[in-house]
Amino acid sequence: MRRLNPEEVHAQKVRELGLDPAALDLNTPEGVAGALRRAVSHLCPCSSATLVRSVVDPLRGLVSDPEQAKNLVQDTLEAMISYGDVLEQPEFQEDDSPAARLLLYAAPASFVVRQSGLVILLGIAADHLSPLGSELERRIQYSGHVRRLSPLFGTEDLRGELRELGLLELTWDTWLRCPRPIAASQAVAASNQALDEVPPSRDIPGLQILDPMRPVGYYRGRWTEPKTHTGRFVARRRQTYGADLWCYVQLNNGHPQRMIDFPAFGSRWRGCDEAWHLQMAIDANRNSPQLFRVKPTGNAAVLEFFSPAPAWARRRWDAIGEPVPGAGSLFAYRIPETEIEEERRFASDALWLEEMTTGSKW
Amino acid sequence: MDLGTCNQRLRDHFSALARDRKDIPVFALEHDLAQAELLALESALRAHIRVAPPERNHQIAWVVYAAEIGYGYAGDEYWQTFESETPGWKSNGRREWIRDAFFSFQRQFSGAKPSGPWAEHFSIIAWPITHAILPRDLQQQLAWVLYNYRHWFSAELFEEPQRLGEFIAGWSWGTSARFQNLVQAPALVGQIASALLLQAEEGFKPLLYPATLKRISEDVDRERRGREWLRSAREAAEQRVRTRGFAIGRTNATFERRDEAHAEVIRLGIEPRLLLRPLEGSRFEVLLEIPDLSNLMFHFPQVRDVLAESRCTVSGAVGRPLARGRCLHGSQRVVLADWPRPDDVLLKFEQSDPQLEFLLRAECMLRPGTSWLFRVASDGLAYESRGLRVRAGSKYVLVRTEPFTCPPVGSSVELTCEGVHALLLETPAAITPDWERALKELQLGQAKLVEVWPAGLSAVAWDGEGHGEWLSSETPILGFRCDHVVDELTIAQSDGPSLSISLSDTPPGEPIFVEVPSLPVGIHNLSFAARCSNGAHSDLVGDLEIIMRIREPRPWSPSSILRGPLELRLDPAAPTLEQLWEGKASIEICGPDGRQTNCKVRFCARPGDVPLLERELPPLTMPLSSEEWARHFEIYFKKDDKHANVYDESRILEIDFLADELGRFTIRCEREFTPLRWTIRREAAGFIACLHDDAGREDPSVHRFSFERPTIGERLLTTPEHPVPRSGGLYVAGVSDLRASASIIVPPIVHDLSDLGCEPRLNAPSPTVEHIPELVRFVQLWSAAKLPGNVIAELRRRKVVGFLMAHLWALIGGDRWGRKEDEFSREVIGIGGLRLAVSSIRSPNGSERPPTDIFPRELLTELQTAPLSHRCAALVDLIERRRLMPYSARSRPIAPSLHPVKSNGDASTAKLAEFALRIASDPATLTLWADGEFNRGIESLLKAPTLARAARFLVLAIDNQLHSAVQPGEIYAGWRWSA
Repeated sequence: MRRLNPEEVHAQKVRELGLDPAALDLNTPEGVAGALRRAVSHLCPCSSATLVRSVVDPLRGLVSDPEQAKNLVQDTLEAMISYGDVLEQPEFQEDDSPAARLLLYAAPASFVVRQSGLVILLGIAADHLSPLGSELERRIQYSGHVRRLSPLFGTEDLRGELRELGLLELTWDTWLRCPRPIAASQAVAASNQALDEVPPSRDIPGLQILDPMRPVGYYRGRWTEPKTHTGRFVARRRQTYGADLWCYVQLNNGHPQRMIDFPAFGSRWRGCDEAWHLQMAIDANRNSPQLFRVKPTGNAAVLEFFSPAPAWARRRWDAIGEPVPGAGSLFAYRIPETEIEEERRFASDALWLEEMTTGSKW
Repeated sequence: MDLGTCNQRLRDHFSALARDRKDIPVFALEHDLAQAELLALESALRAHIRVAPPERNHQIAWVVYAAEIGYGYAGDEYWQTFESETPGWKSNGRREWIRDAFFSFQRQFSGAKPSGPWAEHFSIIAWPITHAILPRDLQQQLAWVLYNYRHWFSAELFEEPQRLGEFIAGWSWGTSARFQNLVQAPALVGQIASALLLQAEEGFKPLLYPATLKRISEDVDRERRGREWLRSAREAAEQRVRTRGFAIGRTNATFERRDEAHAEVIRLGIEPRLLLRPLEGSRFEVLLEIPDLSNLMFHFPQVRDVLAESRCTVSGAVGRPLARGRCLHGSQRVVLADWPRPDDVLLKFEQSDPQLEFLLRAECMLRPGTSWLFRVASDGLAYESRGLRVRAGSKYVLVRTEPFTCPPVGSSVELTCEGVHALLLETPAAITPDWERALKELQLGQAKLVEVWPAGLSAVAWDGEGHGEWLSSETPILGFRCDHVVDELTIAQSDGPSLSISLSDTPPGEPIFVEVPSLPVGIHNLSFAARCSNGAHSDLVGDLEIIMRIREPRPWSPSSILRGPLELRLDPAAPTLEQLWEGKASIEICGPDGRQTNCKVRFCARPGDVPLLERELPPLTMPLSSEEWARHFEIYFKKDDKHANVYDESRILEIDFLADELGRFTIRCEREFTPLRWTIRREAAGFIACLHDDAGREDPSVHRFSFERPTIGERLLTTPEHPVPRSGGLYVAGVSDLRASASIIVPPIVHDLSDLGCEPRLNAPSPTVEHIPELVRFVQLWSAAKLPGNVIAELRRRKVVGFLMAHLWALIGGDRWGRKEDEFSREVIGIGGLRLAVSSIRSPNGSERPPTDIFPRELLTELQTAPLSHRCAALVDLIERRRLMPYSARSRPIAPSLHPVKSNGDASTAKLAEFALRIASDPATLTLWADGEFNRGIESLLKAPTLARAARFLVLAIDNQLHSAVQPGEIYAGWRWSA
C-alpha cells in the first residue's frame, strides 16, 4: 500500500486504460472515453446517468471543476453513442409488454475498414477485455472518442486479422447508412402527415419542446416547457430511469393534441437522431436554418456545429476527420482541406445547414 | 521399407521413451518418424494388408498407423476412414486385432490407456484416438478454451496436470461433444495443455516427446486464430508461472469437507445484490442482480450439468424461469414481485442437486434481517448500503418487512414488490437532534466523518459506503476524506500489510489517495482508522471497514452476449444437428423491437471443409420466439427436398444471425456422437440404411418395423448396410451390455399418391390393459427415432404414433371413450360430444346432460396459451372439485406418490394430474419423469377413469383449438414437455 498524489492517480489509471500517461489524463476526451468504455463494459445495460455517475464520482479530488468534468463526460458519451461504441435501444421486455425505457448497451466488438486500409474500431467487450492481441492493442491510435488502427507499411491485412480474431466487420455503407437526401419541406411534410394520421393524445407528463422561434445557435436555450404554444414541435418526455423519449407533438395553447414517437418502428436510428433531423428541416423550412462554420487551420479546417447532429452525420465526420474541442460551438471536427467542399455539400444537402460567414449572427 | 525392421526401430524408440517416462504415459503418436518415413511405413503396411492379414511382428507399426489416422479424425467414421485408406483391411484385418495391438503396446511401454465413460462406450476406437494425443479438429477448441480463460490461470494450476485438466474440463461446457469426451480424461488434457503452454519456459521439462509436441504446436499455429489464441494463453501462463516458480507436484484439488466448500463459495462471492429502480409515480421496482455462476463450475465440477442444463427459478420473481445456462453468461437482473423469505434459497434449478443446493444455501440467500437500506444515487437507482448507516445530505429508501407506523421522518413510497414496506428518507445537510432520534428509532446509524471511494476509475460495483468489487487485473486506488482534523490515518488489510499516513499537514476535507496492491481473487477487508493526537495519546476520530471483492474478468468471445443489445437463447445450450433439424432445440433471439436479423444456413461434411450447401433465408424480425424460428426454418429451409438430402450427408450445420451493428451469432451443431448411429443413403434402387458401430462390443441386434405393423420387429442380420424395401420402416439397433441403441425412420419411396397412404395395424386383435406398458414402449420407440431430412418420414411417424396413442387411450379410457375419440378424429362429433364422453350426467328421464364444468370453452381458450404447469393446475382443480382421485374408505388418497419422494395428498394429486397429462400427450417423456413409478401411475389412472379421460380430453381439445398445428417434437399441438 502507498499514498499517491492526484497526478499519480491520473497516471496510473490512464495507464490501466491502455493510454499514454505522459500525454493524457483522466480529464481529457481520450481519458474520459476510455473510462466510459470501461464503465460500459461493467454496467450496461443501464441509463446514461448511471454511466456518467460512474465516471464522474471517482474524479472527486482529481479535477478542479467537477461540473466541467461532468459536461465533458456527457458530451463524450453522446459522441460515443453517435460513433457506435454504445447503442441506445429500448429495454427488452420478457413479457412482451411495450418497452418504454431506453437503455444503453455495449456494441459488439466490430470494425470498419476505409478504402485506404485504415481501420475504425467500434464496440466494447465485457470487463473491458480487449478482443485484440496485445500487439494490436498497443498500436491503437486514440483521438477523442475515436479509435483507429493503421496498417503497417500499407500492406498489412488488418481486415483478415481482425476477422480471424472474431471481430464483426461492418461495411462502410452499413456504418454510414443515412437517409435518402430530400428537401427540407418534404421531410417536414412527411412527419406532418404521420402526425395527422394518429388519434388525438391526452396530457403528456414531463413534456419539453424545442421552440423554433428561439435562436438556432444556442441549442440548450431552445428547450422550454409548453405554455401558450400552438403548432407542431419536436419534443421529448423525461423518464424516471433511462433516456428521454423523443416525439413530434401538436399543441394547442400549450395542450397536446396529437403525438408520434421517435424512432419509427424498426428504425435503426435513435429517437433523438430522427428528432434532430426533423428540427433541422423545420428550421430550414422557416428560413432560419441551423448553422455551421468552417475555420481554416493550415492544410485542414475545423468544422464547427452549434446544434446536435444525427449519429449518421457524426459518424461520417468521425471517419474522415478527428473530433476537436469546439470553442463556442457544441462540437467540432478537424477535416482535411481536400474534404471541405464535399462536407459543405453534405451539410447543405443532407442536413439543410447554412454556413456562417464572418460576422454573421443568429 | 522392411516392416520388420521398422517395427524393431519403433520398439527401441518406445522402449527408450518408456524408460525416461515416470508418471506420464507413452503415446503412439510419439513415434519419432520423419514425414517421409511415415509415408513409407504407411505404404508398406498397405501393400502388406492387400495380400495378407496383419502380422504380430508388425504390431507396433500398425499401432502407429492407427494413431496417425486418429490424429486426422474429425468425429466422422473412424473405421470407414481406416478401411478406405487401407484397401484390403476389410478382408484381411479385424478391428479387435487393432485393439489387442494397443493393449500390448500399453503393457510393453507403459502406454496411455483410454479412460472415462467415452472410452467405455467406444471401446476400440478410443485407443487410436487417445494415442493421437490431440486430434486436429480438437486443437482449435483447446486453444480457444485456454485463451478464453487465461485470466484465470494461477501458478497452482500448473503444478499438477490433473488440476489443469479439471480446469479445462470445467470451462468446456460450450464445446463440441467430442471435446467433452476428451476432457473426461483430465490428466491427459492437462499434460497436453501444459506442454502447449509452457514449452518455452525455462526449466520446463517437456511432458511429451519434443518432436511430437512441436508437431502439435505447429498444427495449432497453422490457423491464425489458433496461433493468436495460443500465443496470448502462453503469455498469461508464463507470467503466472514465473510469479511462483514452477514445479510439478501432486495436490488434492477437491474439497473434502463441507466447511472448506463453504469457505470457497464465500471467497467466490456469489451473493446476489439488491437494487431499486425508479418507476413513474414515485414508485420503485426491486431488482435482484444474480452474479455470474460460471466460476462455481470450475471449483465444483460436479454441479456443472445442473448449472448448464437446467432452468433456474428466482425466488420472488414471476414469469418464465431463466433459460438453461443463462446464469453462466454474466450477471442477470430479475424483477422481484415478492420479497423472498429469509430462508429462501434465491435460485432453484430444475434438476435438484444436493451439492449445489448446499453451495447456494451458503451464500445465495437474502442478507438476514428485517431492514435493508438503499442509497439513492445521482442516476436515480438505489443501491443497497449494507452498513445501515446514513450520511447527511443524502437520499435513502429504507425497506422493512414490518409496516412503518407513524415514522418520525421520511415519507412512504410504493414498491412493486409484495411483502415489504418502504420509506423514503432525505437527510438534511446536517443531522439535527430530531433526526438523530428518528434514525435511532428506525435502527439506523450515522456514517460519520470518514468517507472512502474508488478513485480515478470506478470499481466494477460500489455501494457508495464500503462494499465494492474490482477485477483481479486492476490495481484499486481508494480516495479518503475526513471532515475533521486528523493527524494520522491507519489503513490495515486483514490478510496483508498496513499503512500509517501522517496527515498533520493535510487540511480537513482534503482528499488523499491510497493505492491498494493487487489482490488475489476473493474477499478482502480493509479498515480505515483516523486518529487525532490528544496530548500523549490519540483519539479515534472515525473509522470505516471496506469490503473488497476481487474477481477474475469474464472471457470475451465473438458470440459474447454480455452487455450487448442482442441475446440468443439456445435450449439446450449446445444442440446437436439432429435436435436442431427435428425442432427439438429452441432458438430465441431477443433484440430491439422491429429490427431485422439476416440468417444464413450452412451444411458441411467436415470441419473446415467447403460447405456442401449455403443458403440465405429471408430476414427475421426481432424479437424472435422459438415458435417463429421453427416456422421460419421449416418453411424456408427444411421443406426443400434438396436441403433434406444434404442434411443426410452432413455432419455440421452452422446458422449465422447477423443484425448489422447490433451483433452476430453463429450456432454450430454437430451430429450426435454415439457408439451406434444410423444414416441413410439414397441409391438408384432405393434407400440403404447404414449402421455405424463404434461400440466395439458384441454385435448389435438389428430390427426393422414396418409402418403397417409398427409393433412387430423383423430381426435382420448384423451387417453395416441394409437395403430398405420400397415401403420404408423403422430400423433399430441395440447393444445390450451398454444399453446403447439407435433408431431411424426410413421413408417409403413415393411415386404417386397411393404411396402416401398407410394403415397401421396392431399385433394383438383385442389388446387388454396388460398391453398398456407395451404400447407406451412402442410410442417411445417411434417417437425417439431419428428422422432423415425427408418430410415423408416425419408424416409417417406422426401417423404411427397417432395410431398407437388412439389404441393406448381406448384401453385407458374404455371402449366407449375409444369410439368417441375415433369419431372426434373423423370430425363426426365435436368438442362438446367428446366432453360428454368424459363423464356424462344422466337425467332421471334417461337423457345425458353434458358435464359443462369439465373444461368449459372459456377455460379452454384461456388454457390454450397457458404454460403446461397452469394446465396441470386446472386439472388438479377439476380433480378436487369432482373428487376424481381414487379414495379409500378413510377418505385418504390411495394414489401412489409418484414423484418425488414423499408426497402429501395435494402433491400426490398434482403428480397424478401431470402423469395423466403426460401419458395423454407425450408418453415418451414419462421415462425420466416417472422415475420407476410408471406401473403405479397406470394403476392409479385405471382406478380413476374419469380423471384419465378428463386429462385426455384437455389434450385433444387444446390440440383441436390449435388446429393440430404441431411444432417439431410434439405429438399434439401445444403439448411439449420440458423434461
